[in-house]
Amino acid sequence: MSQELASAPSHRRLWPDMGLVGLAGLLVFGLAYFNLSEISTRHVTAPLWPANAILIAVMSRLRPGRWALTLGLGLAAMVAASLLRGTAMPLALTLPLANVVDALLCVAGLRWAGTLPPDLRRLKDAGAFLVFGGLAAPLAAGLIAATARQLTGSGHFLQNLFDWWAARGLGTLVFTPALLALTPARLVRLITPRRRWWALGLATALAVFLAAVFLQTRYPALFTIMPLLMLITFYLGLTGGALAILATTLAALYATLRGLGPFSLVRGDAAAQMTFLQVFLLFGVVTVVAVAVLVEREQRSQRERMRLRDELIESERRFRAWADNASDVVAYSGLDGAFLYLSPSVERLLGYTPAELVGQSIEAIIHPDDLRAATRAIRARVSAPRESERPPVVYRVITKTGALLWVEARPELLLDPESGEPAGVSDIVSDITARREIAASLSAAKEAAEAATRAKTDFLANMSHEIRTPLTAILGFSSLLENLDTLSEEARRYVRRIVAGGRVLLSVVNDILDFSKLEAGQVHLDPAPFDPQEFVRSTAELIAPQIESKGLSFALALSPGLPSSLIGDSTRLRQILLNLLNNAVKFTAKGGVTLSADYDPGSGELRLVVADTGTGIPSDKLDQLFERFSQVDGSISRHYGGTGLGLAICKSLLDLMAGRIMVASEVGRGTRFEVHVPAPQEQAAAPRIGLPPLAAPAQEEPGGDAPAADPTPAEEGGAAPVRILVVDDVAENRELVRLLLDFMGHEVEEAAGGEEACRLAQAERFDLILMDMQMPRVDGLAASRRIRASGGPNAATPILAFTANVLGEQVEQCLAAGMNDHISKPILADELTAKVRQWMSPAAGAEAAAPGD
Amino acid sequence: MDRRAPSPLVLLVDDDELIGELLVLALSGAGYEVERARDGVQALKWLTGRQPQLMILDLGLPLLDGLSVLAALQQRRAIRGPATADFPILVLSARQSTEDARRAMALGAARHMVKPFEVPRLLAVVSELLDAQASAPGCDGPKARG
Repeated sequence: MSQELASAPSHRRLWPDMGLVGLAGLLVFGLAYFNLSEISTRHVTAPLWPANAILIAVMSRLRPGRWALTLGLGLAAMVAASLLRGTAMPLALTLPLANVVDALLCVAGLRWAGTLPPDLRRLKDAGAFLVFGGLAAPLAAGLIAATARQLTGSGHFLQNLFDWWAARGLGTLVFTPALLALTPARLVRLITPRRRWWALGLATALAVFLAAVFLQTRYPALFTIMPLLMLITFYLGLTGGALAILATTLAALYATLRGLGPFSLVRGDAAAQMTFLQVFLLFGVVTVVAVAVLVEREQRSQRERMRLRDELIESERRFRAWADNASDVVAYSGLDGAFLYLSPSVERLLGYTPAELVGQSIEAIIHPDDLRAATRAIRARVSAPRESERPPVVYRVITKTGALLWVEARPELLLDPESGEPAGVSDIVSDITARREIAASLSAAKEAAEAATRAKTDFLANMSHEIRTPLTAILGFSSLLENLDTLSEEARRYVRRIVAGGRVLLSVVNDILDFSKLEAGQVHLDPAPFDPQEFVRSTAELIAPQIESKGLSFALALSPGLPSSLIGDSTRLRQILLNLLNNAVKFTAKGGVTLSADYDPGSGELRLVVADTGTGIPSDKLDQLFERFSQVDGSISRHYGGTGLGLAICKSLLDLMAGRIMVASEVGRGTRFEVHVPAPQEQAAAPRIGLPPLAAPAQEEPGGDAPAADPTPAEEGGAAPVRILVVDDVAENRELVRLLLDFMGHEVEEAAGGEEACRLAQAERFDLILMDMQMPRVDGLAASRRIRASGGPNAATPILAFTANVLGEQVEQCLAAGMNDHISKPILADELTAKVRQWMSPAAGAEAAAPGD
Repeated sequence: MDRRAPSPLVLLVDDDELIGELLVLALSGAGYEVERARDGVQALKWLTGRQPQLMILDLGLPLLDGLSVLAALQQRRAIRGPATADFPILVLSARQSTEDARRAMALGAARHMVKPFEVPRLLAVVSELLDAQASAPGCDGPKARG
């Protein structure tokens, strides 16, 4: 990563790079020349070789593509310096080559470790730098150099190796950090206002100490330098430390070469002094780097702490702002349920301040009746996974003033961020009292509206019934009158008007009733098989007279693809189609009406199209066409009549059938209605359900196709006449029951009271006893008990009670008294025959024998 | 209209005087002999002794409603044999209720019509039912054409 950062800009900046390389070459030449002249004159090898550090520092900043150039230039500079210094040829080439190898290995090693350029404040970088720059690379270079010298016969191999290694390693360690630090950006950091005086003071102190230590030879005060280096590194960072070590190195070298300073006190030759100096510098470098690493670590962790603190403060501030201003109450409680925090809004809600409630639990505020359920709900909610559907918990709370409020709580389990263990519960509580009140009043209003709709529909149904009967008379007598031979033509015309008016009135009544029922959801479809061709033809026939009388043409287009049998409510479908046809005829003055029918087997839809050449409908009115009481123009109802409910009824019916109605129209050109209604084809094997169309003649006596509500008619197996005792104190009731049973063919005996019934039951056997409940003296219950207890011929005869009250209690009394069943009053032949049949079946006898089981 | 000799006897069961009168007029005008019953009990009493060629039955009757009359007739046929109530029944109702119609048909009615009816249409239906009855073989209960 680091080499990418370093190489990316250098790739673009060719000339600055070249400048850097050239500078490095010049410096290397100068340093090599100086090293060779000043140092090598007195020692076999130089104690410190900074030229390699220059190459390393420069290569650290360049991408690897430029290394070859840098190394080549460095090699040339060093060879030139060697030659100028009069070094013999093989060595003048091999020793610079060894130096170049040192620089290359160091940079390559750092790159391999991913630490190029090295940031020595990091432990990893510093370690890699020490290993490659101070150890491996110089050792390798030393091997080359020592071998070369060995071959030329100059000096001891191991001594040469050590000297080389120490000089190159130390040169790299001492100079590279300083050179890397010598960038404008880093130097500027030393003179920031905060550090400026420190930097100046410490630099001065270092100068004073260095002078004091190295410009005298009496007192070896070398130890004073180390703490100063640490102090400088501590306050001024690695940059300051690197510069300080550089200054110390130069001062020590200068002094030692001139026979001054503590190293001059070392006993032994110059080489020994130099070795000691090298050791000192090595420790200096290690100390500076170690302190830099520590300081950096400390600073980084402090920066991290600061950042965390800032984040924490910010999030706390945000949370407070939210919690303190929320209208909902935010609460935290511990695992024991005691509140640890409540937002100030709790006072608005409950009248208690947060302080009053902290330490208390929900029990302090919840309505006692809701405590158990709420606790259970809270537990269920917090233990359910967060992604699951978790309803909020609703309960009542009691405010400080004693008022009752409904609240909705959304408790969540708080987990300890470290251990992941439950640590408490957070909760957001909102006041839903008003919402509940609105909901309650809404649902009450809805119920009231529905009840009103039902009442209206029932009323309309009754009214319609009441209107139909006299209307029947009006239309019927008019029709008789119309056909009277003696009627004058004028009178006949008037009668026709009456008939027409009556018919309109009838259709109005029908429309209103239909719509009202549709609105109340009381219309139920009655799907049955029908022949679509027959259906369309017969419907068209109904409209034919009107079409004829208006002199319009009529075209019927039946698709050959129409199936022979479909399932649908043909009565309601006919109503829709008639409505559309009626409209078409009504609004068409000349031209004609077309009716076409088609079937789409893909969607299973019957498609009916009614098109006319009438007045048409303006496009802006098409939308409201299917709304109730809408006619395109108010004047139309005056001109054409009608309630305006027709299309609304069609639409509602089609909605019920899951069908659609579409309209296209052009004013003056005509209108086209298209109806799509799902109508599955009848499966050949499927049994016929429901009734045949009402207009068709009835089928055979109903057998298997009777509705489920009706018991199987008796014709099936034939029924036998039975002897029945009818007990009722009211003569009319007896008479009615007797008439019915007689008429059916049963044999009937009558008893006018409980006593008479018991007497008759004791005397002869009956197949069935029908007994009224309420009778004077001995009532139905008592009589039944007596008959059961008597052990007479009817002890096991089924006894059915007549009762006006079919509610549970009385029925239970009947059963307890030994009766078997009941028949409701007023008596309906339907139920009577069904019950008689039921109890006269062979299985019923056994049941009756063990009454009141 | 098909003239029969003697005139077919129609039992008309309807409690409404206006409609009763209307139907009596219309039916007798068409050549039928008409007897009237004004409630279900009267109808059953009338039917106990004899049979009409056809019965027109209103469903909304006092004392015993039309469906009960149908049920009683059905039970009578079951117990006493089909011949004891062997005539077609045309049911009239003022309610546009498919449920009423369904039950009436299940109880043996031959046809259901909703009031108000068109007199000519009613007469046509009556004639049709009588024709069907006449062409039906024997006494096999009220017969309808499939």
